[in-house]
Amino acid sequence: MKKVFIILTLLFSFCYGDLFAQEKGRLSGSIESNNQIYRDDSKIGAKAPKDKFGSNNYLNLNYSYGNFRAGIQYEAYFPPLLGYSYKLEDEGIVHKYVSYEDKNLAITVGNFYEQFGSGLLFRAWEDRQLGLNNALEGVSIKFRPTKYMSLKAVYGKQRKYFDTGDGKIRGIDGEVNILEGLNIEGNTVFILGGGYINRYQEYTGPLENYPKSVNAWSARVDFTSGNSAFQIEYVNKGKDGSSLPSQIIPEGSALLTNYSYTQNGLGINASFRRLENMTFRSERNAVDNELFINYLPANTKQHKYSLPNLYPYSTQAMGEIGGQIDLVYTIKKKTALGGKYGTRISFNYSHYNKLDGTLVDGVFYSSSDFLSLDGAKLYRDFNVEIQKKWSRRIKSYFTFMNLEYNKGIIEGDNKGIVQAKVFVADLLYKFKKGKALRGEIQYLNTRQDMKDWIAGSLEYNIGSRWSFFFSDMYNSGKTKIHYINFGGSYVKNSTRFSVSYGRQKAGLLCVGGVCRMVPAASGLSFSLSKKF
Amino acid sequence: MKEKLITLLLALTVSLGVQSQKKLPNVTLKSLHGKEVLTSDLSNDGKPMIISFWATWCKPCLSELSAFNDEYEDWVEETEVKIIAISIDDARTNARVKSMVLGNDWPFEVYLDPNQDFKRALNIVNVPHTLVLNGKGEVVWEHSTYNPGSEEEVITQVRHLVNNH
Repeated sequence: MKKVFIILTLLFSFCYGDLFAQEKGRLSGSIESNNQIYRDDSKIGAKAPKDKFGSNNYLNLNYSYGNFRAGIQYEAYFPPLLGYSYKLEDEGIVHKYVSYEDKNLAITVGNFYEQFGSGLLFRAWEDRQLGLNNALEGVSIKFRPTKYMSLKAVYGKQRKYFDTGDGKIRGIDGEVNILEGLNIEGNTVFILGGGYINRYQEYTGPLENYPKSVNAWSARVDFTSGNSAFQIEYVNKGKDGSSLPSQIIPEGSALLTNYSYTQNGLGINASFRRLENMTFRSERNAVDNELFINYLPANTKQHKYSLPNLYPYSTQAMGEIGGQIDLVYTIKKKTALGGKYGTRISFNYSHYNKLDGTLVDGVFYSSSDFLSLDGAKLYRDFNVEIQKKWSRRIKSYFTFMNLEYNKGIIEGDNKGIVQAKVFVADLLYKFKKGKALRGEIQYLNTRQDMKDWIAGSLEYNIGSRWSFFFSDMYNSGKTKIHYINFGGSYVKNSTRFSVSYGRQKAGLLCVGGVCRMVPAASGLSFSLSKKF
Repeated sequence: MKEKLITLLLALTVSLGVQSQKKLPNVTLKSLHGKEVLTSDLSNDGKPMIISFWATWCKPCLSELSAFNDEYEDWVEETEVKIIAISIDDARTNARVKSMVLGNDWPFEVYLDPNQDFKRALNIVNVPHTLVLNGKGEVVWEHSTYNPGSEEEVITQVRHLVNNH
């Protein structure tokens, strides 16, 4: 409890304080602190950790002077919140950099984030909710020789909790805006790009020809003309090693294509993706979300409500094939169906299968058919959302979702395929003087797994500062357990403080298609974020 | 442990003693056509701007942009403000940004910040986050999160700028 006190003092101590200007350069930053006091809750299988407390804290400071910038990120876990790796139990400055940047050149020494293309080949990024940070520690150079060309080079090791991984990464990437380079004016954009990544990690084991050095490259095209746009990206990854069991993994590849058609009031997007042997990390024996080199998000719709998110798809980097179609359409204002304010409809369909090939030791694919869709079904999601504003005060959203989720493969248990239908109604009513009430009701129907769920929530806002909520998620089909949560938040400019109390269900938490398992938890949470 | 905490406290106190950054940091964004755009090129010819950070998967962000959309014509007529929406969607969802913006018929200038360089350079913790800039391109007001009705506070800030000009 002493720690709780320290954290609280900390939080309040910097909420106040007057700002004064500095003559030379500028200092800015942000702070984020997420804390929870746990309690045992045998009903949902939640067990409080030893000192009943978890606290994740992040402080960023950036100083800029002319073209120079320098900064740090300090992190402290007292200990980490449940669900985050115990390897984070430490504190210290984990991220520091100095950089110079002008219109044509940017050089960073220290820790940095970067991505090539869409990240299919390389992405160094941070996601605090996932406890993921694979920033590179080394040197990054970005150079723009002309207006229509940009080049990047990176070298370094990736962050692994409070340390760096063993593998070294070297990479280059370039992009050319062809038509601008040829001085062709018009409505067409044609961009070519390509990148190369090498990872090197020592190996002292007995296997011959075991790849210490892994090469991967990518080529991409981005073409936009009039209402249509087309993107294609291909990645080839050379032979890699796996550590348990020690064996050589054959070449991998990734293909991502995307077509979109847009005009005012209509947007259509269709994409296809195939992955084979694309697990790529800077240490062969890395686990969980450690040391990813490439970024392979789930290419499905990211849902906003809680019940549709009970069964989130998570990318199968070893091998998957599938695609997604997305459509957004606005029925114009002042028509019969559009009403006074217009009505918005969106459709989304996605489908993913395993590759049709031989999976060796559950680790890699060999001799798979490139375009065959005969592999086992992993995920299918069809959903519709209708948004309608009825008057100045009332707005509604309705969602229907029909999904199939291969729980057996995605979460590795024996539940097989879960087929579920989800219905969501969400209503907003605005009172006078900036007060508003939002109510949400959700129903998930399935005969498998945990059977039916019902969820509801109410949210009341007073102006832009105060917000209160109460929510319940109830498993009506099997366990008859209520997951009740309530709380509130206060926001002033860029400072936000929130408190909540309740239960959290065990399950897969996914952000951007990267997931981590969270255990059941129960207790009081409070967090603060501020930027300055 | 204790000394470290004290150091942290000191660092915080020092960090509070400085003025927040006013001018936008210079970072490269992408347009919806895939072209690179520098943040220093964002302008509204000496008139105020609203910059809103959002993502396709963030419900309050969509509510905010849809509220801006409802008021847009009146606001522009009154204050000549420009609204710029910066999407922090990454490769997972950024293909949907363009279809969503056009499908919704949003009249804003929209740019992509796929690895969140701009968001990070501004020290923004979460979306939605909204900035109001004066005619000189300086950040004069900002707000995290969106509650229904908060758009009134945003336009009030813009009105202050226009009336005090």
